[in-house]
Amino acid sequence: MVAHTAADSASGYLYQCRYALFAALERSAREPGLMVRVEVFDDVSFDVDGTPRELIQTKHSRKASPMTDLSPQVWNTIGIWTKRVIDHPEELGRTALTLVSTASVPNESGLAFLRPPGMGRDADKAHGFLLQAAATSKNKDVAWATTLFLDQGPEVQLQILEMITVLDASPNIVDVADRIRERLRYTTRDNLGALIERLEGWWFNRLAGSLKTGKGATVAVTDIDAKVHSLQESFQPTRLPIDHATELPMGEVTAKLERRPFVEQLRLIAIGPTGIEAAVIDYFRAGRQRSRWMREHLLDREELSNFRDKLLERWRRKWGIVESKLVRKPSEDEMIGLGQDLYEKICDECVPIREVSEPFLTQGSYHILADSGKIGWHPTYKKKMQEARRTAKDDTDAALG
Amino acid sequence: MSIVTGASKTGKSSLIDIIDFCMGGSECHVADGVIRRFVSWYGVLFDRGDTGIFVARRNPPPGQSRSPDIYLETGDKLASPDFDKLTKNITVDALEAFLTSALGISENLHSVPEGQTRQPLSANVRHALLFSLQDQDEIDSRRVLFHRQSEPFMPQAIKDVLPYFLGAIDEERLRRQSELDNARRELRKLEKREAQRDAVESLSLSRTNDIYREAQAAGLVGSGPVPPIEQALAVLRAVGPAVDEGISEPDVQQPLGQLRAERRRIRAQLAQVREEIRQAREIEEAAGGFMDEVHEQAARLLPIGLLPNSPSEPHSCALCGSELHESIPSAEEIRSTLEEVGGQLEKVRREVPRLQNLQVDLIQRQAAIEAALRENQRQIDDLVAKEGQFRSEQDARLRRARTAGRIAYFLETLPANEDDTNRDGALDALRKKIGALAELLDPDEVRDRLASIVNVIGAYMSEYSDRLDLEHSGSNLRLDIRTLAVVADTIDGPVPLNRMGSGENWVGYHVLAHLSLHKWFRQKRRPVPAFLIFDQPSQAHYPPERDSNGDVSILQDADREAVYKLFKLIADVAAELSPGFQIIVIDHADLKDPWFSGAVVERWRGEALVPPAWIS
Amino acid sequence: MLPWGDRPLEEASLFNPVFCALLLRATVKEHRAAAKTPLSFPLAFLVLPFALHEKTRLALPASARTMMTSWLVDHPELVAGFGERARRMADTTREAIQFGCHYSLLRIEGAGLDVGKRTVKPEPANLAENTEEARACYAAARLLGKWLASGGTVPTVMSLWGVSP
Repeated sequence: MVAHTAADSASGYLYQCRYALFAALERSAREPGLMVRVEVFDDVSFDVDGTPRELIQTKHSRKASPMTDLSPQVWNTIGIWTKRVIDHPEELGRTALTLVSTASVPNESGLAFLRPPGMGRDADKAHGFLLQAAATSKNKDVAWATTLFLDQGPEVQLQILEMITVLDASPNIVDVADRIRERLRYTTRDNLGALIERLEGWWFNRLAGSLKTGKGATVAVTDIDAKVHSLQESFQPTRLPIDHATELPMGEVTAKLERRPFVEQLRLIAIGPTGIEAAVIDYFRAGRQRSRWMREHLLDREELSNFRDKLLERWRRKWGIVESKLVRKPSEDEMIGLGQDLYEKICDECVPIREVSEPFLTQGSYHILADSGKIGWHPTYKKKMQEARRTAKDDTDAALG
Repeated sequence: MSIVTGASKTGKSSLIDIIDFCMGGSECHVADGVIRRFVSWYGVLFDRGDTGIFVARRNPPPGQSRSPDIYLETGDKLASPDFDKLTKNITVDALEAFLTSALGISENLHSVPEGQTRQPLSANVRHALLFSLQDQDEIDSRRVLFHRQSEPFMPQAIKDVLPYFLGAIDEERLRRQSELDNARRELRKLEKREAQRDAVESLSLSRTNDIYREAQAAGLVGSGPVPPIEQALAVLRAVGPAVDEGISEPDVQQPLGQLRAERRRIRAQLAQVREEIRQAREIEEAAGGFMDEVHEQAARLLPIGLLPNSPSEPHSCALCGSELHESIPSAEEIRSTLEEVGGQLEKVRREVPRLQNLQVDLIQRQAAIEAALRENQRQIDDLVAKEGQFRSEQDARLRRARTAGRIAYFLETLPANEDDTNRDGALDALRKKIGALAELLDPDEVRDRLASIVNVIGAYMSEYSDRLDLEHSGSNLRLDIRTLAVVADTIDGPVPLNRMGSGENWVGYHVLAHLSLHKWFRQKRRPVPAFLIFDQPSQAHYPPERDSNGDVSILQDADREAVYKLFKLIADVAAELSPGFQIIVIDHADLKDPWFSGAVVERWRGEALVPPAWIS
Repeated sequence: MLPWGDRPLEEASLFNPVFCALLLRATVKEHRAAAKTPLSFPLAFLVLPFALHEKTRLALPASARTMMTSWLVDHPELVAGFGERARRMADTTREAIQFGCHYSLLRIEGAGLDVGKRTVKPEPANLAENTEEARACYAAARLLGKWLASGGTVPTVMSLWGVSP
């Protein structure tokens, strides 16, 4: 039983974060599409569009003692990976599982035979060693892992081991900093130290929040790249004449969507593509969810109308305020502002149906109502929607004619 | 022979101490007593035949042994000066030098063999005197042959000077010796300089090698092993100062800035494309789920198509026929709902493939952007590498310039070696000269001469010994210079003096040795005082406590005979070597024979050195 | 019941009286074929909560040879909420019956419900546009018709389903 001290876990955590940064920097040049994910428990993973490419377990040891086939760390890791492979059989043989440890592993051990190719890798031999280690392990803390591993068929065991690469005697927490420095040396020549310091600061910040909540953090490797370059530029004595105008999202996705009244309603109050995209998703998801519940008979038919009435009631109250402001004859811009205020308030709402309270359900249901014209955002939405419908109809007629 | 005979404690033995003191002794060894108390000056008159030398020294004050006051007088007449004339007119050192020169001791130096640390010793009067005195404790010693031999360092000094006094080393040899010494000094100097030069040279060589390699590393000279030093130096001299090739720094910063700006743009594009892919995928997914639901809804509405529009609304209940208080939906209403649902379905059905196409499009675009990003990275890397290359080239240039500077400095500070051949010649000549001198000064030659001399003296000793009844009389006697002892070569092997028994032998051999030595000294006119003083040679047979007015008739026949023979030998040798030689015998024996009594110069019976009148 | 136009679209579509009437008709038709009698009126209220309930449908046997009673005994979890669901669906059932009768898909025959005189071609259950689920609903309704034909007296069946008339 290894008692983990606070210093151990702190250095382990720092190591994990630093290693993730280092690994991300290393991979960013080769595969800009990667996302790096840092989990709470020693995990660093890389994925492309949600498909994991590489899972890394980092083990930082402040002691020089070697890591053996019987080390609890090893079996915890193998156990986690075995479980993962069982849960995600599609990853079998696809995802690279990397165990990074600052400790070294003894030669002629299962772990040693899992070193990268060219360093004596022999998964078959490793299999034999690790089977024996699993069978002889008496550590109760990792019994779940050894048992799980032993429960798999030999083919699966071997497949898992084939996926595993052990990088022992890896750079430790200090060395990793040097490696990062080395890695970035070619990016910038000046102020390297200050740059790395700020990059790490930014990186730890980026991870800290997500890790505190226990959810892990996902960052695109190009974000790191971008940060490096922005830091580097901030250190330059004179900024180069570069067009810093940020490009607006092209809204290509929303452009592919059908003209739906609720979308038109949003356009009336100048909601941008991102807002529209979110609204569309909410609309679809809410529509699907409501229908599904109905079909599965999880909701009684009056519950949906009761829910709708609740939403209408809330909207109506806010609408009353909007109307009261119309007596001042606001300009179109002001009216758009009013509509946006209303929409913003509605977006903050989350009305439960049965005990379920999901924002998308509330928002989507509002959009369903807006789609039917029962509610709207722009103070003159009724008139404007009618005009729009007429225009659309004329267009259709013209097209038919 | 001059005999001073008399009773004990009459100052007989002090004569030797007085002579020693007056011949330049640093200390007065005259024993405390009457003499020291009542004498103010000690004086000795030396007879050199044609001239006389008078030396007087003031008796040191009581309790002291030194006195700086010396009076020296030389002159034709041999007479002691008046007391009131005595005054200090010479120092001890000057007296020593005077006497040394007066004795005829020439410039001489006993050169110390290599590897020994003692100072070279120059023989002087003090050394010469060692062979002329035998006090009563020395004359019967089994261990000590010469005067003061028992004092520290004296045996070595005696050994060192003996060859000179014996004449084994001639003046020519001494001249050569000093020449050899000078040559050796010179050689040492040259060799030292040579060694320094060699050191400098080997240093120069290694420095040359170093700098040559450095020049190779800087690309200033060709690769390969370092050639011999002269050649290497020639190559280095040809290098000359580095010329700035004037390569201008490639403008990297500006294109790099552009590339980085481009990179930022590409990255923004990538982020946007990725976001759009995410959006499209999310919407597609949501839309798909929505579509399925709408499809279900439509499916349930679909059978309305099987029904005609009702001509009339139902108003009565089908079950009870009563008025319906709620209207049931009409087929038309339901049909319009179906239309609505169908419209939605249609919209989503159109959207989904569009979104899918968009995704394909976006993913292709993403790949292109990623490729552009990689290409951009490659270009940045290239530029950075180019800059790095320039820097390393610049470094190399700087290194070359630095190296050229170092080469120039090295050549400037290279020690000149203009007199190479000259130097070697001088060294060789000197070595040859030294070799020649050393050959001339062959120590074997000295040894041979010495051996020959010692043989002659040994022969004298053997001859004289016949006239005494000694243990090894008749044996071959010799003086062993190595041990400073008399050795009898018997058929049982050599017997040194200390292994011979009885005091009569010891005294006898001391007398024999000194007589023989002085015979040689006189024959060869060696610069040793031409006198010999024996104190109490009779003591082995006629000890002082048996003294009876010097009458030896009280002795047994053998002892009386021995004493007689000893004195007779001394008298004979003195006669043999005279004129120009004096043997002073101090003894209480007083033989009645005319050759003895005729030689007595003082008979202190009731009288003494210090006249009783002085004491009272 | 809300007027048609006020109903949320999902509610209106999924529980629309045409579909519900057709499900009732399917049950009644099977019942008539098997029992040669109209479906006892109270039993009509079992059709929609039975056929429209996804979990129930998924638990149904492949053939009608499985006895309803034994199936009911095997699935207490489905029976548990059935009574309440049937009560909530009563209005929908009533509307479906009214609609069905008005359009002659169903007719009242004494104390029972019988098939109306309208012939529907093709048979709604065989519509090409039907979804799997729609088909499953018709199938469930038909199965229930068979089951009810041999299920025993009305009070027995009602009590087995946990429904009070």
